[in-house]
Amino acid sequence: MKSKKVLLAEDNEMMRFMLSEMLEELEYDFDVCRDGQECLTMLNDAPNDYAIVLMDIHMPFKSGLDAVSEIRNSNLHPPKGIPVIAVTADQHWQHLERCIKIGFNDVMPKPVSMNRLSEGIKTHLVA
Amino acid sequence: MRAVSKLRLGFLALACLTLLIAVVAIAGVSRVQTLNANLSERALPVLFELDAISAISVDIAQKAQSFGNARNFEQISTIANQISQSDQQFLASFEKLEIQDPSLQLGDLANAINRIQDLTFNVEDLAKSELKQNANFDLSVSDLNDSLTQLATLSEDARTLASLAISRSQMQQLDIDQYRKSLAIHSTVESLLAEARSLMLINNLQDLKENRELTALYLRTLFSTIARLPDNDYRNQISDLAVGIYDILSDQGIYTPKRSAILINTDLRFQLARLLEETSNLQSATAAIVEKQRNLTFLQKEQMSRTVRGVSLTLIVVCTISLTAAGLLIFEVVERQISRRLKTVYENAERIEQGIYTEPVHFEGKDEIAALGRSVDRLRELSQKQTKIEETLRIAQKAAETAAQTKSEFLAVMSHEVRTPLNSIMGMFELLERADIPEKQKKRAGMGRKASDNLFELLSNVLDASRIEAGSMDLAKSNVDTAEITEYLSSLLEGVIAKSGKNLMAEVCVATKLPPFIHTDGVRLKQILTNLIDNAVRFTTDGSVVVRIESMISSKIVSFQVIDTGIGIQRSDQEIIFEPFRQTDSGIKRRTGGSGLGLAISKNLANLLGGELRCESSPGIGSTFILSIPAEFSPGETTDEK
Repeated sequence: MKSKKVLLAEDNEMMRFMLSEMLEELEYDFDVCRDGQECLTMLNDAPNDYAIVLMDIHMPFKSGLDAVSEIRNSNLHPPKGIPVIAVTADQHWQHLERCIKIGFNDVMPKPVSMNRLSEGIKTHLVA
Repeated sequence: MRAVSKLRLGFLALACLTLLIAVVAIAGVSRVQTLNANLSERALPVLFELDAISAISVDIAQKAQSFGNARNFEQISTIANQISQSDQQFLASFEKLEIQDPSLQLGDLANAINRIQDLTFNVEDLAKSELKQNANFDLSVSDLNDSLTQLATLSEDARTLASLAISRSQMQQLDIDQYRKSLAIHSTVESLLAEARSLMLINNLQDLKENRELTALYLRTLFSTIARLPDNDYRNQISDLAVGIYDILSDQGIYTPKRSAILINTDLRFQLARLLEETSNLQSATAAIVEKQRNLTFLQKEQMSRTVRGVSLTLIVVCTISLTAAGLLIFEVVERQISRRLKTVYENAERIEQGIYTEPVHFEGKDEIAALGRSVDRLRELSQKQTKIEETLRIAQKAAETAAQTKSEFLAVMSHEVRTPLNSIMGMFELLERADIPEKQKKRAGMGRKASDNLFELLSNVLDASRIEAGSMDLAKSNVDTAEITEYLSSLLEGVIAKSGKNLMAEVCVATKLPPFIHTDGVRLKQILTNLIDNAVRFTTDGSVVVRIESMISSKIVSFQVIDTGIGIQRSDQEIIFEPFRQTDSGIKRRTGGSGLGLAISKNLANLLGGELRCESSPGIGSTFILSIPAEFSPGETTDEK
């Protein structure tokens, strides 16, 4: 389990810090990036390093939706099928549905607590 | 003047014209009737009477003509008598005539008939006097006859005497001369008798006159014979008789015809000629009068037909003029006074209806149309004002809508934007709580987490409320598994009670058989039920919270009842609790917490799902919140949506 990392993409500094702290507390190995473009670059650079991606939807340069869309349409393997969990403050069902349709494996609505984070990651890592 | 009055005036004028026509018609008809009566009751009868008179006059004239065929005075007398009767008829008819026309010269007719009458009388008299003379003559002839018979007797005597004388002479041989004389007397007497007999054959005065010479000859022969008689005695006897015959003949004017007889005859002829002339005159005069009268009647007829034509023409002209005048009058009233002005009013109203506010038409006059026009003008002002007000209202409404939209968007954005930092705060408090720090610090961090949890909940509710208010709450309906819902409610109820730390009895009971799926928005259904369970646990200090699920009305409605044994709600508050933020006013809130939006959102969501949320409660005993939603499930749809 330690062999693979969690990739966290979050532009908001406070959220990034909090989520990092929580992942650390949950004893996950992880890397951090600030936007979708950076996320794609990291996945490109080390396609086999990451087991799961936590991705914010609203990010500058390249949003989470665009990034996931690119991952799913790329020819990189294994990142093409990597589990991506959306972290969003928007709870509107249409929004959530859109996320699933575009390629996210799951949606984690805010507020993100330790329990939710742990449950969400576990569900997809086991799978 | 009012329009109706104008119309009335128009119709009054029309009525007057009709009356005028009627008067003209009546006058014409009465004139024609008078003429007709004059013709049929006066002129024609007069004509008929004149015709009758004319016929009589013709009759008289014909009778006068027939004088020429008369053989004797008796016939003349009879004809004269007939003419006299016809004259009487003529006069009687003439006196009945009722003609005052002097041009007909009826007086001449009267004079003529009078003259004819006089002549007729004269003729009759003359004829009668002739007849009388004839009678005298007949008498004389009779006398003559007697005388001749005597003469014959005498002659017979004479012959007897002669015979005696002969026989005496023969026997006594007397004088031969005597004998011869006796024979001569006898033969003379014989011839005399023959002459007398031939005289007696003349029984007619006329013939007598014609045979006058012959008769005179006979008489002379008779006298000479008598004179030759030898015997004086015989001679004297026979002579006396012959003288007597002569006297009779002389009396009858045979020998010396009297002048008067001739005069009478001439006078009669003259009178007859005049009578003929007069009757002819009468006939022609009567015919002339009849012709005149006929012409007069014809003229009257002509006059009548002329009058009829005139009356007809007058009527036609008056009718035409009247109708034209009436038409013009009505056209004037209807077209100019009503129609044209109504059109103006109509166009004015139509412009107002189309929202075109041209200059108002200032109607003049006092009639209804002018009043209507002014009303329309007032309507224009009102409409103009109303349009302005509507415009203002529209702007205001748009502003309000924009404001509401802005508010809604603002709330959504704010909720979203606030959530991210709030999530960080919550996460940090959670991390702090788990950190290896003194218990007192941990408790502080825990309070911070709770406070931020509440704030997050409030934020979510505000977001929902604003969405519902803005009408942007969209539902994601799918076939929701009822078993899954039941399971969810069990774990939720236990979780909430556990979280509250209260010692409450919890139960989820399914009262009836449920449909396998409910076609509804599962997220929202869970949201409502979570809210109700949260409230129930929040307001209940001890006792139980029971969730009872049942299906009603042939599984078409599924009802969820959340029954608690909490503080309950006053009847007066049972409606208020469903209004947003009303809980904060009631004082209950202060002890129990909660945003005050939960029930309002739940009720609105229940309505959105096509169901309802209501409350039954007794203060101090507990409350029951009943959520009823339509199942709307049909087996064919089970696999349609996830």
